Amino acid sequence: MNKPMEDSTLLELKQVLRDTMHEVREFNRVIKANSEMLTRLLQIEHEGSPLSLNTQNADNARGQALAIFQTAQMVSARLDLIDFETNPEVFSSERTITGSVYGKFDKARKMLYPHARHKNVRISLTGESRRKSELYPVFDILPFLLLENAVKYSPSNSQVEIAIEEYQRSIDVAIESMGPLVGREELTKLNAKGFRGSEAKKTGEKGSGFGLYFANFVADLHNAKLAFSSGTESLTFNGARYAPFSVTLSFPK
Amino acid sequence: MFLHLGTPKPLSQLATTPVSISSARSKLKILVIDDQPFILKEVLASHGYAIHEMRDISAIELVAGYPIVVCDIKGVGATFHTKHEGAHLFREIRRAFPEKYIVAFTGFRFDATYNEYFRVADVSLKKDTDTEAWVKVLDEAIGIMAEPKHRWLRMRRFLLEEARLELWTVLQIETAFIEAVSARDKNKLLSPIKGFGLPDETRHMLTNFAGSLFTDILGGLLSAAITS
Repeated sequence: MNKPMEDSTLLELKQVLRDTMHEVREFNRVIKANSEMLTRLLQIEHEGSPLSLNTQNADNARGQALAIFQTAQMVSARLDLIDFETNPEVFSSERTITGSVYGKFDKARKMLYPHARHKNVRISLTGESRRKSELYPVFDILPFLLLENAVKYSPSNSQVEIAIEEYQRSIDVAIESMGPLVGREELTKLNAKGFRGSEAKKTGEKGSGFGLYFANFVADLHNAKLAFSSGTESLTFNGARYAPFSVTLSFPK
Repeated sequence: MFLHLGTPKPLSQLATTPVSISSARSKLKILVIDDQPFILKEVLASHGYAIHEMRDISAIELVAGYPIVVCDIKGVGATFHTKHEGAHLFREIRRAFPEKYIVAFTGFRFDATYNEYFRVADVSLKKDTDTEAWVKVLDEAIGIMAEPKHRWLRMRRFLLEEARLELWTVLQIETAFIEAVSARDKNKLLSPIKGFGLPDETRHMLTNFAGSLFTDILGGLLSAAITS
C-alpha cells in the first residue's frame, strides 16, 4: 500500500545522490588539480635533497594548500546537507564555529573564479562588513550554491555583483546578475525541492532544482531570510528570455 | 513519620576555583576509541589536549581514567559481539560511568537508525569535522568535566532518571558528595553509600565515580571548597 510513497522517496534519494555525486566529483577534481600543482611546486631533484622555494613559489604553494583545504570544506558541507536531509535529528548536536559571512562569500567567489573566467563572467564583491558570526559548518555551501547558480545562468561577458552591507540588526547580502526570467508565480516556488523555472529549463543548462532548495534550507538553519526577485525581460539568450535577477540574504546579527 | 536532624549543605555552596580551560586541556585525559588512526591527534595535541588512542577496548573498565571519551561507531566493540559495535560501547560506557563526556565520532549521521545511540552520547561529530569545531566541543567537555559539581549533576540526573533511586537516597548521596569533596576525602562518599542498600551495580558505579573524581581532585586537576 505504501509502495508509491516508497518509490517517490527512493526517486528523491536517487536525485539527491546524483546531485551530490556530481558536486563531490567536481570538488574532487579541484582538489586533485590543486594537489598536482602543489606537488609540482614542492618537487625536489631526488629523494633527500633539500627543498628550495623562492618567495613567489612559496606564496603559490600556500595558496594551493589553502585552496585544497577550502575545497575539502565544501565537500564536508555538501555531505552535511545529506545528513540533514536524510536525518534532520543530527542537527540537534551540531555546533557552530565563528566565521564571517563576507569571508564565506569571498571564499566561494574565489573557488568559482575558474568556472566564471571560462564563461567570461566577472564576479565582484563589495561591502565593508567583516563581522564575525556563529555559523554552522554547513554554511560554507550556501554562498557557493547561490554564486554557482548565478554564474551558471549568466550570459558571457556579464557580471555577478555581490554587495554585503551591515545594518543594525542584520548583515544583508545582495547578489545581482542576469538570469532566466522568473515569473511572479514561479518566484515563490524557486526554493521548493526539485523546482526549476520554465525559462531556466530552456537554457539547456543542467540543473535539478535542488541548489536553491538547499540554499534556503541552510539559510533557515541560521534564521536567515533568502528572497529572490526577477526584473523585466531585457534580452534573449540561449533560447530563453532573460532579466536582471537578484537574490537577497538577510542574516540576523 | 519522617525525622531528620540538621540541614544538608546545598550544592550551590560547593564553590570551585575556576579552572582555566587552556591549562585543563593538558590535564584531563581524552580517550579516542577508533579502529583507524586518529589523524587529528597531532593537531589537537598541538592545541594542548592530552589525546590517548585505543584501537578497541576489551572491557568497559578500561575507560575509567578518561573523563572524556571519543568513540567511533563502526569497527570497534568487537569483544562485545554486537551488531551495533561502537554504538553499543556508548551505551555501556554511559551505564558504567554516567558522568563521562561521550563524543560519538561517526560517518553515519545520515542513518536515523543510530539516533537512539547518538542521544546517549553528549555530542556526535562527523568524521571530517574541522579542527576548530573539535576545539569547541573538547573545550566544552573540559569545562564540564573540570568541575566536580558538574560531574555530580550528570551523575545525579542518572541516579534519578535511569537508576530510579528515591529522591531522599539521592539527597543523602549528594550530601556525602559535598562533604567528601570539601574535605578532599573519598571515604566520606564511599563509606555512606555502603549503607544505603543500593543495588550492586549502582554502588559499583558510584565507587567508580568517586575513584576517578578524587584521582583528578587529588592530582590537582580539579579543585573545590565549601565557601561557608
